[in-house]
Amino acid sequence: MKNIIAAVVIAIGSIASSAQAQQPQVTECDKLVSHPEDPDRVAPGVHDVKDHAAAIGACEADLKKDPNNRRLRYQLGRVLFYDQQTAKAIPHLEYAATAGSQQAQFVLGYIIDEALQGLKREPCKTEDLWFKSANQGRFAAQVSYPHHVMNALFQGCKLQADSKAIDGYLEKAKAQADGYYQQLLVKTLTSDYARFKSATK
Amino acid sequence: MKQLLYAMTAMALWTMPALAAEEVTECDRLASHGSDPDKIAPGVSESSMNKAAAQSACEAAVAKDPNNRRLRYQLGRAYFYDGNFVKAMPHLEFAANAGGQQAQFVLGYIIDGGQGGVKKEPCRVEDLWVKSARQGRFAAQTSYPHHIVRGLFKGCKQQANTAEMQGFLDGAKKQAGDYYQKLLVSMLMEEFAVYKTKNQ
Repeated sequence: MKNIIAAVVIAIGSIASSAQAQQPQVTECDKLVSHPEDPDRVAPGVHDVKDHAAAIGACEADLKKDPNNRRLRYQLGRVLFYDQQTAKAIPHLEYAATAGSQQAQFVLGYIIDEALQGLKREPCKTEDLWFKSANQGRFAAQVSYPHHVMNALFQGCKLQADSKAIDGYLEKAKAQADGYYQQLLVKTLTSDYARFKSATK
Repeated sequence: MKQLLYAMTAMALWTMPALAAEEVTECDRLASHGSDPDKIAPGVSESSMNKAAAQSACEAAVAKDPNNRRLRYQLGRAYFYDGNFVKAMPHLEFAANAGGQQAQFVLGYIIDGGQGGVKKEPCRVEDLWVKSARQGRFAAQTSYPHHIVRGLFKGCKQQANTAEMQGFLDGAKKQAGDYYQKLLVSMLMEEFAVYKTKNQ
Protein backbone atom coordinates (compact mmCIF):
# COMPACT_ATOMS: atom_id res chain seq x y z
CA MET A 1 0.00 0.00 0.00
CA LYS A 2 2.82 2.37 0.98
CA ASN A 3 4.49 1.66 -2.35
CA ILE A 4 1.29 2.49 -4.28
CA ILE A 5 0.90 5.81 -2.44
CA ALA A 6 4.54 6.68 -3.10
CA ALA A 7 4.11 5.85 -6.80
CA VAL A 8 0.99 8.03 -7.03
CA VAL A 9 2.78 10.93 -5.29
CA ILE A 10 5.72 10.63 -7.68
CA ALA A 11 3.37 10.44 -10.69
CA ILE A 12 1.46 13.56 -9.60
CA GLY A 13 4.75 15.36 -8.98
CA SER A 14 6.08 14.52 -12.42
CA ILE A 15 2.81 15.58 -14.14
CA ALA A 16 2.91 18.91 -12.30
CA SER A 17 6.56 19.56 -13.12
CA SER A 18 6.15 18.61 -16.79
CA ALA A 19 3.12 20.94 -17.04
CA GLN A 20 5.26 23.66 -15.48
CA ALA A 21 8.04 22.98 -17.96
CA GLN A 22 5.59 23.38 -20.85
CA GLN A 23 4.49 26.85 -19.68
CA PRO A 24 6.49 29.35 -21.76
CA GLN A 25 8.62 31.62 -19.67
CA VAL A 26 7.43 35.25 -19.55
CA THR A 27 10.41 37.32 -20.63
CA GLU A 28 11.09 41.06 -20.39
CA CYS A 29 10.27 41.24 -24.12
CA ASP A 30 6.82 39.75 -23.38
CA LYS A 31 6.17 42.25 -20.61
CA LEU A 32 7.15 45.25 -22.73
CA VAL A 33 5.89 44.36 -26.23
CA SER A 34 3.13 41.69 -26.20
CA HIS A 35 0.13 42.60 -28.33
CA PRO A 36 -3.19 42.25 -26.44
CA GLU A 37 -4.86 40.51 -29.40
CA ASP A 38 -2.02 38.10 -30.13
CA PRO A 39 -3.13 34.58 -29.18
CA ASP A 40 0.56 33.63 -28.82
CA ARG A 41 1.15 36.19 -26.08
CA VAL A 42 2.09 35.08 -22.56
CA ALA A 43 1.78 38.51 -20.91
CA PRO A 44 -1.25 40.86 -20.75
CA GLY A 45 -0.18 42.98 -23.73
CA VAL A 46 0.27 46.68 -24.37
CA HIS A 47 -1.37 48.88 -26.98
CA ASP A 48 1.63 51.19 -27.16
CA VAL A 49 5.23 50.36 -26.51
CA LYS A 50 6.49 53.20 -24.36
CA ASP A 51 10.25 52.80 -24.31
CA HIS A 52 11.31 51.54 -27.74
CA ALA A 53 15.02 51.30 -26.93
CA ALA A 54 14.44 49.25 -23.76
CA ALA A 55 11.95 46.99 -25.54
CA ILE A 56 14.26 46.42 -28.52
CA GLY A 57 17.13 45.59 -26.15
CA ALA A 58 14.98 43.16 -24.18
CA CYS A 59 13.63 41.39 -27.25
CA GLU A 60 17.06 41.12 -28.89
CA ALA A 61 18.48 39.64 -25.69
CA ASP A 62 15.62 37.13 -25.45
CA LEU A 63 16.01 36.13 -29.09
CA LYS A 64 19.70 35.38 -28.63
CA LYS A 65 18.61 32.65 -26.25
CA ASP A 66 15.66 31.48 -28.35
CA PRO A 67 16.11 32.62 -31.97
CA ASN A 68 13.33 30.47 -33.45
CA ASN A 69 10.59 31.64 -31.11
CA ARG A 70 7.90 33.13 -33.38
CA ARG A 71 6.27 35.05 -30.53
CA LEU A 72 9.50 36.85 -29.66
CA ARG A 73 10.32 37.41 -33.35
CA TYR A 74 6.90 39.02 -33.88
CA GLN A 75 7.37 41.20 -30.81
CA LEU A 76 10.82 42.39 -31.89
CA GLY A 77 9.40 43.10 -35.36
CA ARG A 78 6.54 45.02 -33.77
CA VAL A 79 8.70 47.37 -31.74
CA LEU A 80 11.29 47.86 -34.51
CA PHE A 81 8.44 48.85 -36.84
CA TYR A 82 7.06 51.30 -34.27
CA ASP A 83 10.58 52.69 -34.04
CA GLN A 84 10.58 53.28 -37.82
CA GLN A 85 13.36 50.67 -38.30
CA THR A 86 11.38 49.12 -41.12
CA ALA A 87 14.21 47.25 -42.84
CA LYS A 88 15.11 45.57 -39.55
CA ALA A 89 11.48 44.90 -38.58
CA ILE A 90 10.31 43.13 -41.72
CA PRO A 91 12.52 40.00 -41.52
CA HIS A 92 11.23 39.34 -37.98
CA LEU A 93 7.61 39.82 -39.01
CA GLU A 94 8.20 37.61 -42.07
CA TYR A 95 9.76 34.92 -39.90
CA ALA A 96 6.88 34.95 -37.42
CA ALA A 97 4.26 34.95 -40.19
CA THR A 98 5.95 32.04 -41.97
CA ALA A 99 6.21 30.20 -38.65
CA GLY A 100 2.42 30.44 -38.38
CA SER A 101 1.78 33.43 -36.11
CA GLN A 102 -1.74 34.63 -36.98
CA GLN A 103 -0.96 38.02 -35.46
CA ALA A 104 2.18 38.49 -37.56
CA GLN A 105 0.30 37.29 -40.65
CA PHE A 106 -2.38 39.92 -40.14
CA VAL A 107 -0.01 42.76 -39.22
CA LEU A 108 2.42 42.08 -42.07
CA GLY A 109 -0.52 41.95 -44.50
CA TYR A 110 -1.83 45.22 -43.09
CA ILE A 111 1.40 47.19 -43.34
CA ILE A 112 1.94 45.92 -46.90
CA ASP A 113 -1.68 46.75 -47.78
CA GLU A 114 -1.27 50.28 -46.47
CA ALA A 115 2.25 50.56 -47.93
CA LEU A 116 3.34 51.96 -44.58
CA GLN A 117 6.82 53.37 -44.05
CA GLY A 118 7.73 53.06 -47.72
CA LEU A 119 6.81 49.39 -48.14
CA LYS A 120 5.70 48.23 -51.59
CA ARG A 121 1.95 47.56 -51.85
CA GLU A 122 1.49 43.92 -52.85
CA PRO A 123 -2.21 43.00 -52.79
CA CYS A 124 -1.58 39.32 -53.52
CA LYS A 125 0.82 39.02 -50.62
CA THR A 126 -1.78 40.62 -48.34
CA GLU A 127 -4.41 38.22 -49.67
CA ASP A 128 -2.20 35.26 -48.84
CA LEU A 129 -1.27 36.50 -45.36
CA TRP A 130 -4.84 37.42 -44.40
CA PHE A 131 -6.17 34.14 -45.78
CA LYS A 132 -3.80 32.26 -43.49
CA SER A 133 -4.55 34.48 -40.52
CA ALA A 134 -8.34 34.30 -41.03
CA ASN A 135 -8.18 30.51 -41.32
CA GLN A 136 -6.45 30.43 -37.96
CA GLY A 137 -9.25 32.53 -36.44
CA ARG A 138 -7.81 36.07 -36.23
CA PHE A 139 -10.77 38.46 -36.06
CA ALA A 140 -8.95 41.31 -37.83
CA ALA A 141 -8.24 39.10 -40.85
CA GLN A 142 -11.74 37.58 -40.81
CA VAL A 143 -13.24 41.05 -41.28
CA SER A 144 -10.54 42.55 -43.51
CA TYR A 145 -10.49 39.72 -46.05
CA PRO A 146 -14.19 40.04 -47.06
CA HIS A 147 -13.89 43.85 -47.03
CA HIS A 148 -11.07 43.68 -49.56
CA VAL A 149 -12.80 41.05 -51.71
CA MET A 150 -15.94 43.21 -51.96
CA ASN A 151 -13.94 46.30 -52.82
CA ALA A 152 -11.88 44.46 -55.46
CA LEU A 153 -8.70 45.22 -53.56
CA PHE A 154 -7.35 41.75 -54.32
CA GLN A 155 -8.08 42.11 -58.04
CA GLY A 156 -5.70 40.04 -60.16
CA CYS A 157 -4.82 37.76 -57.25
CA LYS A 158 -5.78 34.13 -56.88
CA LEU A 159 -8.53 34.31 -54.28
CA GLN A 160 -7.84 31.43 -51.93
CA ALA A 161 -11.07 31.76 -49.94
CA ASP A 162 -14.31 31.00 -51.78
CA SER A 163 -17.66 32.49 -50.76
CA LYS A 164 -18.37 29.62 -48.37
CA ALA A 165 -15.08 30.21 -46.59
CA ILE A 166 -15.78 33.95 -46.41
CA ASP A 167 -19.24 33.28 -44.95
CA GLY A 168 -17.45 31.14 -42.39
CA TYR A 169 -15.04 33.97 -41.53
CA LEU A 170 -17.96 36.32 -40.95
CA GLU A 171 -19.81 33.81 -38.80
CA LYS A 172 -16.73 33.26 -36.68
CA ALA A 173 -16.09 36.99 -36.51
CA LYS A 174 -19.66 37.48 -35.28
CA ALA A 175 -19.04 35.04 -32.46
CA GLN A 176 -15.81 36.82 -31.52
CA ALA A 177 -16.95 40.45 -31.91
CA ASP A 178 -16.24 42.35 -28.74
CA GLY A 179 -18.24 45.50 -28.11
CA TYR A 180 -20.67 47.61 -30.12
CA TYR A 181 -18.32 48.74 -32.91
CA GLN A 182 -16.97 45.30 -33.71
CA GLN A 183 -20.53 43.95 -33.72
CA LEU A 184 -21.70 46.76 -36.02
CA LEU A 185 -18.71 46.17 -38.28
CA VAL A 186 -19.47 42.45 -38.62
CA LYS A 187 -23.19 43.15 -39.15
CA THR A 188 -22.37 45.69 -41.87
CA LEU A 189 -19.90 43.34 -43.58
CA THR A 190 -22.32 40.42 -43.41
CA SER A 191 -25.20 42.30 -45.04
CA ASP A 192 -22.90 43.87 -47.64
CA TYR A 193 -21.35 40.50 -48.44
CA ALA A 194 -24.77 38.90 -48.93
CA ARG A 195 -25.61 41.68 -51.43
CA PHE A 196 -22.22 41.28 -53.08
CA LYS A 197 -22.77 37.55 -53.53
CA SER A 198 -26.15 37.94 -55.17
CA ALA A 199 -24.85 40.72 -57.44
CA THR A 200 -21.86 38.65 -58.58
CA LYS A 201 -23.69 35.34 -59.05
CA MET B 1 -10.56 101.78 -3.53
CA LYS B 2 -11.84 99.71 -0.60
CA GLN B 3 -15.25 99.47 -2.27
CA LEU B 4 -13.68 98.36 -5.49
CA LEU B 5 -11.79 95.58 -3.64
CA TYR B 6 -15.01 94.45 -1.93
CA ALA B 7 -16.79 94.39 -5.26
CA MET B 8 -14.00 92.38 -6.88
CA THR B 9 -13.91 89.89 -3.97
CA ALA B 10 -17.69 89.48 -4.03
CA MET B 11 -17.61 88.94 -7.77
CA ALA B 12 -14.85 86.36 -7.47
CA LEU B 13 -16.73 84.44 -4.78
CA TRP B 14 -19.94 84.59 -6.80
CA THR B 15 -18.33 83.12 -9.90
CA MET B 16 -16.18 80.52 -8.12
CA PRO B 17 -18.78 77.76 -7.77
CA ALA B 18 -19.39 77.84 -11.50
CA LEU B 19 -15.71 77.44 -12.18
CA ALA B 20 -15.14 74.74 -9.56
CA ALA B 21 -14.90 71.17 -10.79
CA GLU B 22 -17.87 68.94 -10.00
CA GLU B 23 -17.48 66.60 -7.09
CA VAL B 24 -16.47 63.07 -8.12
CA THR B 25 -18.94 60.78 -6.38
CA GLU B 26 -18.75 57.05 -5.68
CA CYS B 27 -21.28 56.70 -8.49
CA ASP B 28 -18.77 58.31 -10.89
CA ARG B 29 -16.03 55.97 -9.73
CA LEU B 30 -18.18 52.88 -10.14
CA ALA B 31 -20.38 53.60 -13.15
CA SER B 32 -18.79 56.18 -15.52
CA HIS B 33 -18.74 55.17 -19.18
CA GLY B 34 -15.38 55.49 -20.92
CA SER B 35 -16.89 57.22 -23.98
CA ASP B 36 -19.28 59.54 -22.13
CA PRO B 37 -18.11 63.14 -22.61
CA ASP B 38 -20.00 64.05 -19.39
CA LYS B 39 -17.84 61.69 -17.31
CA ILE B 40 -15.64 63.13 -14.57
CA ALA B 41 -13.95 59.87 -13.53
CA PRO B 42 -12.17 57.14 -15.54
CA GLY B 43 -14.63 54.84 -17.29
CA VAL B 44 -15.58 51.42 -15.96
CA SER B 45 -16.32 48.64 -18.45
CA GLU B 46 -19.43 46.49 -18.19
CA SER B 47 -17.43 43.41 -17.24
CA SER B 48 -15.54 45.15 -14.47
CA MET B 49 -18.52 47.00 -12.98
CA ASN B 50 -19.72 45.98 -9.52
CA LYS B 51 -23.38 46.40 -10.44
CA ALA B 52 -24.91 46.17 -6.98
CA ALA B 53 -22.41 48.64 -5.51
CA ALA B 54 -22.82 50.97 -8.51
CA GLN B 55 -26.61 50.90 -8.19
CA SER B 56 -26.56 51.76 -4.53
CA ALA B 57 -23.87 54.47 -4.91
CA CYS B 58 -25.73 56.02 -7.83
CA GLU B 59 -29.11 55.85 -6.04
CA ALA B 60 -27.50 57.77 -3.15
CA ALA B 61 -25.87 60.29 -5.48
CA VAL B 62 -29.09 60.82 -7.44
CA ALA B 63 -31.07 61.29 -4.21
CA LYS B 64 -28.80 64.25 -3.40
CA ASP B 65 -28.73 65.65 -6.94
CA PRO B 66 -31.80 64.34 -8.81
CA ASN B 67 -31.46 66.61 -11.85
CA ASN B 68 -27.88 65.70 -12.63
CA ARG B 69 -28.00 64.04 -16.06
CA ARG B 70 -24.60 62.42 -15.65
CA LEU B 71 -25.59 60.67 -12.44
CA ARG B 72 -28.99 59.73 -13.85
CA TYR B 73 -27.34 58.16 -16.90
CA GLN B 74 -24.89 56.26 -14.72
CA LEU B 75 -27.68 54.93 -12.51
CA GLY B 76 -29.59 53.87 -15.62
CA ARG B 77 -26.43 52.21 -16.92
CA ALA B 78 -25.90 50.21 -13.72
CA TYR B 79 -29.48 48.91 -13.91
CA PHE B 80 -29.29 48.26 -17.67
CA TYR B 81 -26.20 46.05 -17.30
CA ASP B 82 -28.06 44.17 -14.59
CA GLY B 83 -30.96 43.50 -16.98
CA ASN B 84 -33.30 45.69 -14.92
CA PHE B 85 -34.87 47.67 -17.76
CA VAL B 86 -37.86 48.84 -15.72
CA LYS B 87 -35.56 50.70 -13.37
CA ALA B 88 -33.03 51.70 -16.02
CA MET B 89 -35.34 53.32 -18.56
CA PRO B 90 -36.65 56.35 -16.60
CA HIS B 91 -33.10 57.40 -15.73
CA LEU B 92 -31.88 56.97 -19.29
CA GLU B 93 -34.91 58.90 -20.55
CA PHE B 94 -34.20 61.72 -18.10
CA ALA B 95 -30.53 61.92 -19.09
CA ALA B 96 -31.36 61.80 -22.81
CA ASN B 97 -33.98 64.55 -22.48
CA ALA B 98 -31.50 66.61 -20.48
CA GLY B 99 -29.11 66.46 -23.46
CA GLY B 100 -26.72 63.65 -22.52
CA GLN B 101 -25.33 62.45 -25.86
CA GLN B 102 -24.27 59.16 -24.32
CA ALA B 103 -27.75 58.53 -22.88
CA GLN B 104 -29.32 59.51 -26.22
CA PHE B 105 -27.24 56.94 -28.03
CA VAL B 106 -27.68 54.16 -25.46
CA LEU B 107 -31.43 54.68 -25.10
CA GLY B 108 -31.74 54.55 -28.90
CA TYR B 109 -29.65 51.39 -28.94
CA ILE B 110 -31.92 49.67 -26.40
CA ILE B 111 -35.08 50.70 -28.25
CA ASP B 112 -33.56 49.73 -31.62
CA GLY B 113 -32.85 46.22 -30.41
CA GLY B 114 -36.08 45.93 -28.43
CA GLN B 115 -33.90 44.83 -25.56
CA GLY B 116 -35.47 43.63 -22.32
CA GLY B 117 -38.92 43.68 -23.91
CA VAL B 118 -38.71 47.42 -24.64
CA LYS B 119 -40.94 48.27 -27.62
CA LYS B 120 -39.05 48.78 -30.90
CA GLU B 121 -39.73 52.32 -32.14
CA PRO B 122 -37.53 53.17 -35.14
CA CYS B 123 -38.65 56.82 -35.26
CA ARG B 124 -37.74 57.31 -31.62
CA VAL B 125 -34.32 55.83 -32.34
CA GLU B 126 -33.93 58.15 -35.32
CA ASP B 127 -34.69 61.14 -33.10
CA LEU B 128 -32.35 60.08 -30.30
CA TRP B 129 -29.46 59.23 -32.62
CA VAL B 130 -29.75 62.40 -34.69
CA LYS B 131 -29.49 64.42 -31.47
CA SER B 132 -26.54 62.37 -30.24
CA ALA B 133 -24.78 62.50 -33.63
CA ARG B 134 -25.26 66.28 -33.79
CA GLN B 135 -23.49 66.52 -30.46
CA GLY B 136 -20.59 64.50 -31.85
CA ARG B 137 -21.07 61.00 -30.40
CA PHE B 138 -19.13 58.58 -32.62
CA ALA B 139 -21.53 55.68 -32.01
CA ALA B 140 -24.48 57.73 -33.26
CA GLN B 141 -22.51 59.26 -36.14
CA THR B 142 -21.89 55.76 -37.47
CA SER B 143 -25.17 54.09 -36.48
CA TYR B 144 -27.41 56.77 -38.01
CA PRO B 145 -26.10 56.41 -41.61
CA HIS B 146 -25.91 52.64 -41.14
CA HIS B 147 -29.66 52.58 -40.45
CA ILE B 148 -30.58 55.11 -43.15
CA VAL B 149 -28.76 53.16 -45.88
CA ARG B 150 -30.61 49.99 -44.85
CA GLY B 151 -34.02 51.68 -44.73
CA LEU B 152 -34.33 51.00 -41.00
CA PHE B 153 -35.84 54.46 -40.39
CA LYS B 154 -38.37 54.04 -43.21
CA GLY B 155 -41.61 55.89 -42.44
CA CYS B 156 -39.89 58.24 -40.00
CA LYS B 157 -39.23 61.91 -40.56
CA GLN B 158 -35.58 61.80 -41.50
CA GLN B 159 -34.10 64.78 -39.67
CA ALA B 160 -30.59 64.63 -41.13
CA ASN B 161 -30.21 65.22 -44.86
CA THR B 162 -27.43 63.68 -46.95
CA ALA B 163 -25.07 66.62 -46.39
CA GLU B 164 -25.50 66.37 -42.64
CA MET B 165 -25.02 62.59 -42.69
CA GLN B 166 -21.85 63.03 -44.71
CA GLY B 167 -20.80 65.41 -41.94
CA PHE B 168 -21.51 62.71 -39.35
CA LEU B 169 -19.26 60.30 -41.21
CA ASP B 170 -16.53 62.90 -41.68
CA GLY B 171 -16.71 63.60 -37.96
CA ALA B 172 -16.59 59.88 -37.18
CA LYS B 173 -13.55 59.44 -39.43
CA LYS B 174 -11.66 62.04 -37.40
CA GLN B 175 -12.63 60.37 -34.13
CA ALA B 176 -12.08 56.71 -35.13
CA GLY B 177 -9.60 55.26 -32.68
CA ASP B 178 -8.60 51.71 -33.52
CA TYR B 179 -8.35 49.58 -36.66
CA TYR B 180 -11.92 48.29 -36.38
CA GLN B 181 -13.47 51.73 -35.93
CA LYS B 182 -11.51 52.98 -38.95
CA LEU B 183 -12.61 49.99 -41.02
CA LEU B 184 -16.21 50.51 -39.93
CA VAL B 185 -16.17 54.19 -40.93
CA SER B 186 -14.55 53.39 -44.26
CA MET B 187 -17.23 50.77 -44.99
CA LEU B 188 -20.04 53.12 -44.02
CA MET B 189 -18.57 55.85 -46.22
CA GLU B 190 -18.41 53.44 -49.17
CA GLU B 191 -22.05 52.41 -48.58
CA PHE B 192 -23.15 55.98 -48.15
CA ALA B 193 -21.53 57.07 -51.42
CA VAL B 194 -23.60 54.41 -53.24
CA TYR B 195 -26.74 55.47 -51.34
CA LYS B 196 -26.22 59.13 -52.29
CA THR B 197 -25.82 58.26 -55.98
CA LYS B 198 -29.02 56.21 -55.92
CA ASN B 199 -30.99 58.86 -54.08
CA GLN B 200 -29.81 61.93 -55.98
